[in-house]
Amino acid sequence: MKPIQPPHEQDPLKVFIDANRGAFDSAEPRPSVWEALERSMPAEGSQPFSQAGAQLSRSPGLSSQKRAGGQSKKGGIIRQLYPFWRKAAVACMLLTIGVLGGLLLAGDGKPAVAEQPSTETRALELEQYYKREIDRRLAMVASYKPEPELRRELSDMAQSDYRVMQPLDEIPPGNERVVLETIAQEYQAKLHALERVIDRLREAERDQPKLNQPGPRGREEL
Amino acid sequence: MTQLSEQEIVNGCRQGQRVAQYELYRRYNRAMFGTCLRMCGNREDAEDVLQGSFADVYGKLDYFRGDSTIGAWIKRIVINNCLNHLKRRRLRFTELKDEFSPAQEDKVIEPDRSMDVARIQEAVKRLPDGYRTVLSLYLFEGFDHAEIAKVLNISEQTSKSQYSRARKRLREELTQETF
Repeated sequence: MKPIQPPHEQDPLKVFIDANRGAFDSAEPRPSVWEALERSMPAEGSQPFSQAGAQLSRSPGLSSQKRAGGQSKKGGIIRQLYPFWRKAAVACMLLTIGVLGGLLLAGDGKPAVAEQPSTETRALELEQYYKREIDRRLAMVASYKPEPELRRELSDMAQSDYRVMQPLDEIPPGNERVVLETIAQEYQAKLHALERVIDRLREAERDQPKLNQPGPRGREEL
Repeated sequence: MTQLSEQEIVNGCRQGQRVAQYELYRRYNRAMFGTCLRMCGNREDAEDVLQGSFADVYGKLDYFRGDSTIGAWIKRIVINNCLNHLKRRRLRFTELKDEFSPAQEDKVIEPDRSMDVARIQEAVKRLPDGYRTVLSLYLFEGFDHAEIAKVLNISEQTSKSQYSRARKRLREELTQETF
């Protein structure tokens, strides 16, 4: 009797799957998965998640909740996501500047280390990079013809840039990294918010035809 | 400015930072969802398992020692949760004693017509739970039959037999399929 041989590297199916692995993992979960996860997690800054893990792991799954089909409060994604992070980021930056500024004033009033001239350049590079990414996502959002309320929120978000960049020339030396990271977090929060918006719009668009034209087997396609 | 490193994300998650938690989810949700879909066979169950898995990930990050990549660590949790889900769905493997001829079982899936991602995905979805589980673990997750036997609590022979039958069934599905 011949032993059963596992398929080898020559197996065309295996070869095909390996070569197209990304395409096989192209399906995305609905935004409601993250929303449910987020709801099940402790508020930021409270108990670390790991300490609440046992309780949270038993939070109900989506199927046991009333499925929202990717919908939430109308036009509320930016409000839900972005302002919190933005305020936290700005507060963190201002606090850092304030504390370190106070330390400097308590000293001889001169920075211990010469101010790095590259900070502003780095901040500008940062800004350019993230603005490019944000613009790209804004264009994607616009292509879905969002509701006016959402457009207003996106506009407000876009106009908030300068408020973060303004205090750059007041940064005490040695704090550049913290400030740049804070700015990056600010932009990352915007990107995350926009990606959520895009996910939701994409999901809504994808679900729309399915409501009218169910698949041949009545199951949602990958 | 560079993106957050894996270590920064892990540390941020350990501290309960929402941005880090979302970043971890954003980076890995798609790959993990693919695994959940293949293992569970439908979107609803896959989303439930994905949600539970990320809850486990955030809750257990203190146990992550960096022996593997964070992605591999998350994948293990996801696969375990998928298997637990399938067991709750009464996934059963019968110990098969059939002999399979490799020549017969490995009649290859015709590359010219059948090799299409969407068609393979659909065909895999239609496989019975047992076939789909073994095939997914072997073909997509890189498990060998010894590992499959261990995680499914079956013999290695059964894993091989299930895999052979799964491939045969997959070939039939792809051949019969009309679009």
